[in-house]
Amino acid sequence: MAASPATATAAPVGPGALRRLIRHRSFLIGATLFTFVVAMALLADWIAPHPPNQSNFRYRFGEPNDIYWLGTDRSGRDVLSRVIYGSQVSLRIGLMVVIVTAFFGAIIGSIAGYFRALDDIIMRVMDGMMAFPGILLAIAIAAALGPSELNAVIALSIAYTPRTSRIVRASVLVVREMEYVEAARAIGAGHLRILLRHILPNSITPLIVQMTFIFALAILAEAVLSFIGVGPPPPTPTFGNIIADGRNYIQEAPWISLFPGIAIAMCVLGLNLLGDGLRDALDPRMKVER
Amino acid sequence: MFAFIVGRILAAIPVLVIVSLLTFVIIYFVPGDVASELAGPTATPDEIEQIRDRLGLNQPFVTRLVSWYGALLQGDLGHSFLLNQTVSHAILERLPVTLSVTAYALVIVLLIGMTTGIIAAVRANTWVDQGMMGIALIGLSLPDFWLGLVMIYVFAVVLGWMPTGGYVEFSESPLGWLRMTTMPALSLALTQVGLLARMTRSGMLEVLRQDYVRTARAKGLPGWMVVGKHALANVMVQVVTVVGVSVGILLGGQIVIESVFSLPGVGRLIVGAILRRDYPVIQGGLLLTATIFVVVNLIVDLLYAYFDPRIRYGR
Amino acid sequence: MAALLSVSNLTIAFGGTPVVEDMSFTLDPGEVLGIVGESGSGKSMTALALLRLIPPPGRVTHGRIEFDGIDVLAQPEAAMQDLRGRAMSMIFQEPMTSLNPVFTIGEQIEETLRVHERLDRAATRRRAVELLELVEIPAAARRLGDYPHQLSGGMRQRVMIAIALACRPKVLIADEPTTALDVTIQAQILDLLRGLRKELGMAVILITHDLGVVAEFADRVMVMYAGRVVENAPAAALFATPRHPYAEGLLASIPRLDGPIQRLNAITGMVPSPHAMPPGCRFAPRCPHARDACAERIPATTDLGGGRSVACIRETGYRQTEAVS
Repeated sequence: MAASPATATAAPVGPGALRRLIRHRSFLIGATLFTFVVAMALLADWIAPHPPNQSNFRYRFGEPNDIYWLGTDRSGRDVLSRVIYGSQVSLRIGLMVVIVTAFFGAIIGSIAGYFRALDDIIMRVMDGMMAFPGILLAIAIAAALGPSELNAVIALSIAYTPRTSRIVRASVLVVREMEYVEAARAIGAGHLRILLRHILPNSITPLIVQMTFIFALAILAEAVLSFIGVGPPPPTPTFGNIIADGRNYIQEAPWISLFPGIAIAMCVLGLNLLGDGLRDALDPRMKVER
Repeated sequence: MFAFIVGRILAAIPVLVIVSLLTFVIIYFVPGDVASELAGPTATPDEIEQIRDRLGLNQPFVTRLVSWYGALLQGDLGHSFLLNQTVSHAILERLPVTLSVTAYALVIVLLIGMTTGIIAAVRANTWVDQGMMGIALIGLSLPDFWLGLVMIYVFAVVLGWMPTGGYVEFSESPLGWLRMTTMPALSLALTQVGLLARMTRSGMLEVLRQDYVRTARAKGLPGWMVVGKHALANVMVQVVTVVGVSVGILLGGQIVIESVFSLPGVGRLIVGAILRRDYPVIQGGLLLTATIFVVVNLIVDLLYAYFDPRIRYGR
Repeated sequence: MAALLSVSNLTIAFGGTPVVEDMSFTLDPGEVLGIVGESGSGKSMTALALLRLIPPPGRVTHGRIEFDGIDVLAQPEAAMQDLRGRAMSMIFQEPMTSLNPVFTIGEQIEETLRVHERLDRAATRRRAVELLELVEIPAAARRLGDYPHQLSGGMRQRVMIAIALACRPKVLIADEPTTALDVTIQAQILDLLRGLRKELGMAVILITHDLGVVAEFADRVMVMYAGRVVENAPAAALFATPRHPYAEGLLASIPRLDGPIQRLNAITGMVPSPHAMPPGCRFAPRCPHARDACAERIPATTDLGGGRSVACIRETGYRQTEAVS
């Protein structure tokens, strides 16, 4: 008996998936870690003990103590407050990148997967873009556009859109061969309607999983951009900027660079665990696509 | 096999064309006036105009594109705005540093990543497996440049075992080279070790369920041969594809790591060029890194065929 | 004559769920034993247990396997490795996936010889060619460098047989060796196995769901149902007068070419899952002769003499069992 083609695609998001998620241990750990950082960002105005850019020149390079829990940097700014506000900027950039890459990835990927005539050209261009290590492409674009938060988002989105496009294209290629798509075509549905109503909703699962991984990548990459000076310009607190602030004082004041790095690790680890959990819950058959 | 190689090489050409085009376009669309920045704040409009003429910035897009490709085909990447060097010279001089550290990191990734993955798979669902995979996941969640800073603090500042940065050529002193490159290579490698360990584990688990592994056991092969030969040879097919991606990430990571550890490589050259808006160097560095990546992926494809006879024989 | 292999009271379980229960049988040197049953009846697990290759979490929880004077279940792993592929070999159902795709078939034959026999390189190669010739693969010497994907299914199964026979085993376990093959190829492989058995004199355990295959080849047949042996008899006797209702049903479901055209008698119902075994006789829910007493206890195995035994309440009498309980 031939395997039904329906078994080749992702399971739809349903109550079963939710139940699997809640029972998934790494999902829960990931959710906790990530929620912690998100809460830190959302509640920054209330929980940060000091304004992020307030200098205290009498207390520069201060060791962690009971006023400055995580110490101070070279201008006497509170590292904890900067990390808390930094999480706002870093998460915002990550979120924007995820939204933009998912949006364009869905468009480009479904066009490439659905209209085979355009597939070759589009995928060639995507291959070309993927020939640059993602971070390098982002650095180059950010450098060309100039350092700002918006430009960091643009640069990272350009660097990671080929990934989402590929993921969407791959599942569209499978879904477009399904009976219900043929049925829709047979009753005379237009291309746009078929794409939006029938193909995309059924190709979305791998994209959702990929989005959590891109979120993680974007946070890591934002730190790199800021660190080498092509991200949001100082004194804006971002994880990368704070690490960069401390890099020349690693000997005297290691805490400046240490804590923002731990914050990044929490975010990224949390997102990676979330992604693993989502992947297992939404589609146990899906291969590791990273 | 020959047809396969030729086919792969031909397929790499359009990618290279797009890579070079992208490199050009990114720099072409740089907002702001490069010429006035180069001339400095005290320059007169005439001087700025002169610079613009000299750099060909007044030419239309197509003319500049044609001359960029014309020069490129002759291996000419232009002249640095700031260094008194041609771009190709500046890059070639620093390439050995970047390549040797990347290769070193890759060796670490393969050795530790695969060993960990194999052990975790053979001991699947034990505490060994869970511990290793937990560490792997944490590893791939750490920013590499930050890890570099932490290693400098721990091993150079606190323990004093390692220098905080600098470089010695391998030909000059292999041991000195190791001293200078071990920390950079380790911090570069760690995220990829985590990734490869996870990949190897899942690949190995899949392979260990295959019928031919059962056959190998039924033949009376000892356990190390079943895992280390029959299973591993099939896992390699999967690992090789990951390695291509890893090399790209290692090359990308190198850009920052070289700055952290003061290694005189291409990455630090590019970062310096970015900060000082030395566009020809940025362009050249981008193009070269991407080309290396394309070549590596070509090698990966060939290795893939080496490890999988079904591909070698064109199925 | 001392038995080559004797299995007694073997129970194999996955987690707490037994898939083979209380199985006993013997195999004489040179004998061909057919093990017949539907999929899920525990045939393949029995075969893997003989080589101690049951995939975890499955394991033998009870019983004894004695092969050639050796207590198989008590051997250290190293001794088992020496036994496998040398004294006791196995071939599998899926020739398409049972060979390693990334090694040449020559390598896969030669490495078996290398681990079990001390031969020099040239002698190993010569033996590999001989083995391919033995399984009637044409142009054997040239085939050694081929990869499995270059061979057809039938050819691959021949290679598997060559590997299994490399060290002249005392027993060959063939688990559904022809099931995955085309009908014409099935006949060829069976002919080959039959010829090889005569030539080499080894014992064979032939596992199949196809009674036709057994009829042509086996000296003795053991019928399994839902993890238990229900009948064990010389082939001729079983085919002439099956005693267990399940064996009866199996025979009746073979289409006959010589009889009048009639409806094929399929056994109604399905094999129970190991997690939901019926009480008492496991075949009772599908058995045309079942009575209330059948559900009370698992019927004892009755020795009928002439190397024949059956596990059915009819042999002891319905009432007698009732009285005992």
